[in-house]
Amino acid sequence: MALVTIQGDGGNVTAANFTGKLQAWSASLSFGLIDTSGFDDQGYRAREPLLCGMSGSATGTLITETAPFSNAALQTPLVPATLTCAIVLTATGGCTYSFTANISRCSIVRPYDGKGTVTFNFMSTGRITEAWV
Amino acid sequence: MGTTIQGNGGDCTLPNAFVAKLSVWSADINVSIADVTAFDSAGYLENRPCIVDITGSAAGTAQSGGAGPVSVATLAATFAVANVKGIITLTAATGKAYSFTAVVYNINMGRPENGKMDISFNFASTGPIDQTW
Repeated sequence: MALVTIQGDGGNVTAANFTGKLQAWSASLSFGLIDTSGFDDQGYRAREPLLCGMSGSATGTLITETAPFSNAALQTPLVPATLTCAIVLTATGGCTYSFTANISRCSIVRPYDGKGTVTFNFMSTGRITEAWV
Repeated sequence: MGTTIQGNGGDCTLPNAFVAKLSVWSADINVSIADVTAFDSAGYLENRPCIVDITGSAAGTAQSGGAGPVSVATLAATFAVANVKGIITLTAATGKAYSFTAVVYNINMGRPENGKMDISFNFASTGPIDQTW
């Protein structure tokens, strides 16, 4: 199958319990880094990778039907378990990253004019699965 | 005077675990500096070069129809940490290149509902750097 650049319609992001009309996602897949330089490295720095994790954000527009932040979480007392959810980042059909993540922030902006925006920041916990076709 | 390097002809090859349609690379050859200023430095700072490494990034567009940005073998049930370290070659022009072993420690992705999916790979060298020029 020929390689095709990913652009235009076809992306998506889903995060259970957190809602908006989402329109963009970005993510960083990090592998960690540790300096292992020693006397026998002949003047060059030596490094090794460590642990794998993914963090990022999804952004979009507020909708009236559903609150952006999980209502199940904002109980008294807080229900922290509902801040952990499954996330699927879709680049295009069949090309996804799936992982469990903790929502670390929900940013909301409502100007007097223009649209209300919402951004969710997330960080993975556990395995990250890539599916790509 | 010399011939400037511009236009078509650059290249970047990453370890096999990483795939994208790359369009630009950037790198810094870093030299750590030790301050050896002492009482007898006559009022002037004295420095000595220590360790050399190369850090940088390669960026482009994600692709479907083949392997994903990160190999499925890497994001296995147990993270295959060895896969994120390998040889990188940065080519400025034919016969002008840097080659070194590096750790790809971060991948940044952005997928808007319109436009293309940008992707960039950050790397840091481990061990010697070969310059061919």
